[in-house]
Amino acid sequence: MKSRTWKIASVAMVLLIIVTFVFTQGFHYALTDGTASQYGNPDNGTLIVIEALPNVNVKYSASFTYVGIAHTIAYENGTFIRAPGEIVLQHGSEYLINDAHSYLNLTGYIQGRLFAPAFYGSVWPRVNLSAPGSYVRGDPIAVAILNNFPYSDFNSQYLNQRLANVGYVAIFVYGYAYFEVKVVAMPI
Amino acid sequence: MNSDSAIDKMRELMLTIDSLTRFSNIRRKFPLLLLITLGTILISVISLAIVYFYDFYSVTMVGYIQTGASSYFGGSIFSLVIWAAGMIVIYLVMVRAYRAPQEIKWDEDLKEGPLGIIKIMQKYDWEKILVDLRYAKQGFILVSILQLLLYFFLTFFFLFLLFTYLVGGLLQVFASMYYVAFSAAIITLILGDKTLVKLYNRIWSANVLIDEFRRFRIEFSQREL
Repeated sequence: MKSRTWKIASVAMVLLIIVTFVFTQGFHYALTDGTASQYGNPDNGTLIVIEALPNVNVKYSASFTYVGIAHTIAYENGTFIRAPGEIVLQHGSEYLINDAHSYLNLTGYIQGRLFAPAFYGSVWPRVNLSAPGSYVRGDPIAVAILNNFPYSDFNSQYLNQRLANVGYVAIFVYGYAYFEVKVVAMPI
Repeated sequence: MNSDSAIDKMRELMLTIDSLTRFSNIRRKFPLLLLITLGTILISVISLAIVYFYDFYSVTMVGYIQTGASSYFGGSIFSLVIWAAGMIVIYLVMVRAYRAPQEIKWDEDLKEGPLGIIKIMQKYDWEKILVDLRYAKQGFILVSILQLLLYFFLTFFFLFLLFTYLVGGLLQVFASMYYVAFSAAIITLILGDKTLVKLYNRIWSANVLIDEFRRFRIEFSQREL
C-alpha cells in the first residue's frame, strides 16, 4: 500500500469517526416508571412533566395501565379516592383507565428549534435541565413526577401557559395508574 | 573455530534472523492494521448512530443500558460484536504475517561446509536483512502495544459487566465509566508486566544482534578485499 494512500485514508476515517461520534453524543434518553397514587387532598393528583431544551428534537411515549388497588381501596383515611385512574392531557382531553383491560398509550413529539438559546432551563416547579457544555451538569431532557399536585395549578400553569425556552408536555393523573414514560432526544 | 562449529553458529544465526524477520513482517502490516482498527471504530460508531436513530423513531430503548441509579451507558450489543470481529481480523492478519514463508533458507548451502558459508555471505542482501532487523524492533513494540490493548479491553469489558449488572444492578450504585477505565488500566499494567519485560529483552537482544551483525559484515568485506 502506498504511503500516501493509507495516510490519507487514515485521516479521512479519523475525521468521520469524530463527526459521527459527536453526533451520537447528542442523543439522550430518559426513562421513568411508577404508580400514580392518590393521597391527601382529593383534588390533587400526580403530574408527569416531560421537558426538553430547544436544541433537541424529542420523541416520547407514555403508557398507562390499570392498577387493581383503585377498586380495593376506595377510601383512605376517611377521604374518598378518585378511582379508577383518570388521565388529563395538556389540551384538556380526558381518558379513563377503569378496568383491567383498559390502557392508554400516548406518543408525541416536541419540535426543537435551530439556534435557539439553550443553556439551562426549568418548568415550574424545580425541574432543572441543562444543555451539554453549560455550567449546570445534566441532560437536555427530563421527566418529572410530581405527587400530590393540585389540579388547579396544573390548570393554570400547564394548560394555559407556554414557556419560551423549554418545550414540555404535562400529563395529569387522578387516582391510580401504573405509568411508564420513555423519552429519546436527537440533536437537530 | 572449526568448520562444524562455524556451521552451527550460522544455523543459529539463521534461526534468530528467521524469528526476528517474522516480527518485521508484522511491522510491514502496520498500515493495514491501523486501517482495520479505524474501520472497526468507524463501523461501531455508525452502528451506534443507527441504533440511536432507531430508538428515536420508534421510542424504544435498544441503545440504553442502565449503569446505576441515575446513569446510563449509551451502547449496543452490535458495537461489542463489531469490536470482537475487528480484534479477530487483526489477530488473523498478524498471525498470517508471522507465519509467512521466509526468504532465509541456508540449509542447502550449509551442507557444503565453509564454502557454503562464503556463498551465503556473498549471496544475501545483508542491507535488507539489517533493515528487517530494525523493522523487527518496531514489530515487537507494535505487538506488545496490541497485546496490552487487548488486555485492557478484556478487563474493561469484564469490569463493565461486573459494575453494570452486579454492583450497579443489585446495589443501585453509580458506576462511572471513568472509574471502570481507570481500574482496567491498573489491572492491565499488572497483567502486562511480563509483556513489558519481554519487550525490553527482545529489543535489547535485537540491538546486540544488529551490532554483532554489522561488525561481522564489515570484517567479512575487509577480508574479502
